[in-house]
Amino acid sequence: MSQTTAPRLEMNDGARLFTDVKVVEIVKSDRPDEYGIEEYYEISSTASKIHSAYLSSPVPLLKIALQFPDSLLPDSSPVSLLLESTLMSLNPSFDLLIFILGDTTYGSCCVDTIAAKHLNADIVIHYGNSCLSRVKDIPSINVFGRCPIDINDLIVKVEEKEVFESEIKNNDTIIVTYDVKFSYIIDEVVKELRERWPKLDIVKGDLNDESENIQFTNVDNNDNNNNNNNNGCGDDIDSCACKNSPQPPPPPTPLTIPSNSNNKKIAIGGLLFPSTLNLLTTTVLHLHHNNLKHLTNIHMKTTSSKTHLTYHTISNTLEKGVSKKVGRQLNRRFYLTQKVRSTNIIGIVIATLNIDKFHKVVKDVKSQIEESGRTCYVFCVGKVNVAKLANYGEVEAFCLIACPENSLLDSGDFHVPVVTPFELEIGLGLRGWGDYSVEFLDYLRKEEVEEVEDADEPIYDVVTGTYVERKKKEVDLTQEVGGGQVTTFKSEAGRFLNNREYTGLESNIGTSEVRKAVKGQVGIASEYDGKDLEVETSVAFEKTEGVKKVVEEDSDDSGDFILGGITSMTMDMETSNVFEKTEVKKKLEVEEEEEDSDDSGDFILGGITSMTMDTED
Amino acid sequence: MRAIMDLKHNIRSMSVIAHVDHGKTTLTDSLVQKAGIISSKAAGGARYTDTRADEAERGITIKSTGISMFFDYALKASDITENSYLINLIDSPGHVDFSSEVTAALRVTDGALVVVDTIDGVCVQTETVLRQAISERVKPVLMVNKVDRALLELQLPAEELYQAFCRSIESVNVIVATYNDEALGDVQVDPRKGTVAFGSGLHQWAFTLKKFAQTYGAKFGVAEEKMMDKLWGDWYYDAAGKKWTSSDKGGTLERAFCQFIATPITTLFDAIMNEKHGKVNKMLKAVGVELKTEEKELTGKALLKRVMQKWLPAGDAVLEMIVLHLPSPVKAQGYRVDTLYEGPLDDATATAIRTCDTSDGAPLCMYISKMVPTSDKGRFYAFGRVFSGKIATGQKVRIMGPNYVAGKKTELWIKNIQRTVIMMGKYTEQVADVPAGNTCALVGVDQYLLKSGTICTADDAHTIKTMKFSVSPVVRCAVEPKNSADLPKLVEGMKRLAKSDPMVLCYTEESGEHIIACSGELHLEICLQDLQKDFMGTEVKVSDPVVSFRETVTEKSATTLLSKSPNKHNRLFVEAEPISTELCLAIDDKEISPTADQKLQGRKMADEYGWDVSEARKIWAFGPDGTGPNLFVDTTKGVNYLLEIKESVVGGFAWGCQNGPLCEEQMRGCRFNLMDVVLHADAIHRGMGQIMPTARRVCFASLMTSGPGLLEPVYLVNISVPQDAMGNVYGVLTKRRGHVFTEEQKPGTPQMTLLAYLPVMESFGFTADLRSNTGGKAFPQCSFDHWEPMSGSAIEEGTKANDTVMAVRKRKGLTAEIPPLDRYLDKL
Repeated sequence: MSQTTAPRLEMNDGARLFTDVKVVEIVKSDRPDEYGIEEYYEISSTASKIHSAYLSSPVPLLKIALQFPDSLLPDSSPVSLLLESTLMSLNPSFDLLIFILGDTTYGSCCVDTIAAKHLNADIVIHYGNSCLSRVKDIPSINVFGRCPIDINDLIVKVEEKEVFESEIKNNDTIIVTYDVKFSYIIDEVVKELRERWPKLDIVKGDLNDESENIQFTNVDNNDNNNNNNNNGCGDDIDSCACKNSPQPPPPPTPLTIPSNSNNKKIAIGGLLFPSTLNLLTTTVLHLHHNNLKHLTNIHMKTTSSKTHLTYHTISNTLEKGVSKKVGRQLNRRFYLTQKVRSTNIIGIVIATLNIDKFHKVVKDVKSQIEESGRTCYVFCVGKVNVAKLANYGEVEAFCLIACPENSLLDSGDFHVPVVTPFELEIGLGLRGWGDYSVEFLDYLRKEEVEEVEDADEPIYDVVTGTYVERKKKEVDLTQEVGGGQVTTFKSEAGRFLNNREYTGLESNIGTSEVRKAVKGQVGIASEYDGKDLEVETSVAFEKTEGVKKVVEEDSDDSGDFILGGITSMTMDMETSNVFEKTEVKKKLEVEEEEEDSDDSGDFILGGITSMTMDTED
Repeated sequence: MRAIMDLKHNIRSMSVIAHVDHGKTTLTDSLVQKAGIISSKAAGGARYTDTRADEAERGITIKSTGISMFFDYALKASDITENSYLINLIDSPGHVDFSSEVTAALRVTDGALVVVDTIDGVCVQTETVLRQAISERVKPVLMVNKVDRALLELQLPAEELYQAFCRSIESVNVIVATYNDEALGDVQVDPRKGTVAFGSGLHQWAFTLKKFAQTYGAKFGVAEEKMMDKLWGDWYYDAAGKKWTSSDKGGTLERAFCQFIATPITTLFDAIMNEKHGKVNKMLKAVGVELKTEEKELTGKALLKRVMQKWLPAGDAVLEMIVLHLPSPVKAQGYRVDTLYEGPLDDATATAIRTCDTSDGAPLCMYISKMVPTSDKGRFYAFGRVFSGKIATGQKVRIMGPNYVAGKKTELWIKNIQRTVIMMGKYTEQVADVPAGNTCALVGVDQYLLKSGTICTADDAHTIKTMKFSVSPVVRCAVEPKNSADLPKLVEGMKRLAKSDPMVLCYTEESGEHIIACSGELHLEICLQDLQKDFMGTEVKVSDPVVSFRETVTEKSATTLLSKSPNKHNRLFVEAEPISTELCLAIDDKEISPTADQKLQGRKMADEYGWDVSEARKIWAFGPDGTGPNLFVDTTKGVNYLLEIKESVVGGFAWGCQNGPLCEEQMRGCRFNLMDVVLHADAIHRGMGQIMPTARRVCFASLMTSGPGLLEPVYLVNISVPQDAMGNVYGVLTKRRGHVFTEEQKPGTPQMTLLAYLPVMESFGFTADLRSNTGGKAFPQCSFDHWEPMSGSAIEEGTKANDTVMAVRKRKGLTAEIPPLDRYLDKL
């Protein structure tokens, strides 16, 4: 393990930012030693895929973005070099630009289309573990990596437990789920299992669906599925992403329920199974490496299944039954859904911008909340953390829209429940608890719930064990005090603000002098540039404490804007209605523009043409 | 039946209350038999009002059961026009775990028949229920029961029998005097007034002095009232001198009670049990009992029962007491309205309640005290008492939940009554309407009310006061469905369970555990059984009993603790210190409350609890729930923007109090002093998201550095046990970390009453253990008493407190170690 020194940013007591030289260990990547870079990262098959796609629709400069999870980042530069040389060897005339994406926008399991689009990439190659969410707008290749598995040991362990005997008797189905790291070998595993237990009905989960953009380099043959050929690799990639890449991205998928072919599939932990599957009579065999979230998702989805077998490839052990943790987590999630029932204000937090159909989900969630007589706000806060969500004190519950592996936030640290759209529906009484799921696909598949006969009845709140009143959808003015007369306007957030002891600065309307807003301080929180300090501006911005970022959706969805259809971002301030309504719109300032524009070649400072304030100390 | 409901002077609503196994249900049988509902043969063993299978099986009453019966009784009084009486009787359970059922029964009745075992005398639960009766302004009459045991088992001579009776009566009167309520008038029981009956529920006989006074009065030609006076107390009849005297003349004379009442009964008993047929026949003739031919074949106890039943029928004696000495609704509501009605006592509804107005225009007011499951799964009858007006099928009424506030719209529904029925034990009978003064059940309001509520017609009506229970749900366990897909089923089951019982609390903890909280182990057992069998239909996994603990501090912080906000630009400095136990209790009792005037309360806290006045006036918050016994005090001086972050800090404090750092239990007795605050000058950087989590962290940090400890709940156990088995009681208690602190002997008996403290944690299986160790002689009754610190620091390994913290963490599925301090504490 070599050591080197690297500059590192340190916070000195939070007040100053300074650079320090520290000894940093060079971390080894997560790649198992038995695999070489070429093999682990599927360099040659990736390259050939790109190459053949390029041949069919060449572009002047092919920009390839490589996305690595943190654990594989140490391998990033060899991979990019190797990939480049492999591609060049395929076609020396390639005009290539290969670059590595740094930090991801949301989670490392999703293809980061935003970062890729910022850099105008033609194709993204995503390495490592994936949540298998369908992405849109940009062609991508998933390379999962590999992990060794001892198939013989697996069979021995299964034999030892003698679990399959009763399954044969009952004519049950075995479904095989696995960490994506095993996708390179899964067909072999299933083949061996079938040979050993020929009477058993063994179904393996498929990685792919008919999504246009994803391809999987690992899957060697498509023996048992009716998917189209982008499932295969090598020579058979005519319909693969790169065909699309130079052209404008495909038209956005219409905002409807997934097409028929998808409806026929059941997704379990991102893996697709035929819809004829009856979960009640299945046994789930999972090949587990280290992706606990994936395992939890699978187990939560299949709680109704008969038996759960988990083969841990690290310890080579076979575990029977669902872990207590999953049961506990399900209880906890159920508790959260019940808690949502008694809330009035729900915030929708967008924590993905690249999963296919997230628009549809946001829209649905929004209308469901509004129909239930509650108020909702849409937030886009980047990576979700406690401090960000706690800023919105008036919001009583958040609905997190994220990829399956990031959906279940352990909300112990959040002061209000954070639920998935699926859970929100349960909480609002629009869906039964049934088969729990974190997948979008299941969310969009609506369920008919019988109407309650009397909408006026209170609901039993299991959280407190008391009755709480149902939220009333419409206000019948004749029933109100004053009988049909105009009554006071009600706003949930406004009411919250009114109840607060501190309601902002005193407004002194009519008594204090009216002044124009002027430009305020500029800089980062730990150090403002003090030159332009003006009293007025600090006053103007004092009030921005309750600022909400409201992300508006653009309906036409032209698809060329990088933020996946978000075309404008305003920062509206809402004050309680006792004060006069003021709206302060703050435009996103682009500092570089100002400084760039004035003079380009005036100073000869070693070629430095611009300088931003926030990197220098 | 319906016609008599209108005769409001001829109605008696009463409950039968007593200690467990003193014979309430059996005695009730005698009235049911008198009403002709069951045969006289079955009476005494039928337990008609035990409607549930498990009640019959265990031989104890679990749910209170209402029954309406009518009787003929000639009473000469001005306002009585008919000789028919309607008795709405509620038989209540005697086990302490079901005290809430008693409370619910007392609320809807005006009189109480207190049953006391001659031998056991007044027991703990007798006192509890009697006290509740008086606080509800329910008038008691006494029945001294199980006299047959005293005669047959103990063979008590007449004078000792008299002494035993006296003791019971005196004990009852002591309790009555202690909790006396002036508005209720003189409610001391006295045989001479006819408010005490003696007898045997099992053998279906009972008498009041009146019965004998009548007999002897007629025989000797003395006025009945005069005779009654002489039949109790220190009166002796000098047969030789033919005069009454108050001294026994050196033991030569027999007390009048013994001479005229006790001795004849003992002689008869003796004759029958020893099968002296000739003597028996003579005696029977003397008291005017004629036996049928087949009855003459009987011998021993069977004959005794039949003879006594014919001579002194229990139904008659009890009925007489009820009719003569328990108030009619008109009388009772006149004084009960003050303690019942929440609103102003001069509004239309209050006036109607006071006069028990049943006229057509009178505003309706009905109190629903409990829900009774119907044969239709998931639906309930709402059982209660009409206090004014009439409730009719189809009527449009205002259904008000317990939290309804007059003039507001929360917990208010305006609905039609689907059906009104009267409860007849196992059966119901539908009626068109029910006038004030009666108990009845409604169909179609159960979906609006969870456990109790008020039904009115007047727009300005207030609710009837919520019932106050003598027990609280302290025994808890977590339930979990076998398959998590059944979670909604479980929730539905919990809802139904919560409805069916006035006390049980079903809720979900933060961790997602579903908790059933009951008042005792037996109660829990019954609730779980009901949940699985009736309300859910499937089995559930039941955890070991769950005990709640409290996290606390034991000393003042040595240093000031600092936490920084996530963006590192804001700092909170806090110190923790313990709050005295007395102050905690005062906060629990709402003597010190967040809503009180800060100035006055500050003075009070300075005077009584030694606080600094200025600090006491700067209490920012109580927690958890805004009322709990933890305080956040602002002791800063001259901090900029402080007011602006107050809400965020208080929010973080409240959040932290709810789930402490040790094992996510509530905090108790912690005071946090805000010492100093450093804030970023720009408001955007000191928003709620920055301050709230920081306030929580700094509270945690200061708790963990100020001698963190754990409080455990402790029961006060009242054990009555004969002297010879006392040693074993001590043994069992010591094994369970309990200790006895007082010991008292019941006068005239070998029975001892022990008072002991026992940690709740150790109390599971205690009753069974105690019984088996004492051969069933000891009878314990537990009630929550206080919080006690557990030994040792919660963060030092090997201490009891630490072990408990770890066990709780394990149960909740938290990480195996207490979070390290540096997660909460920041360095300067």
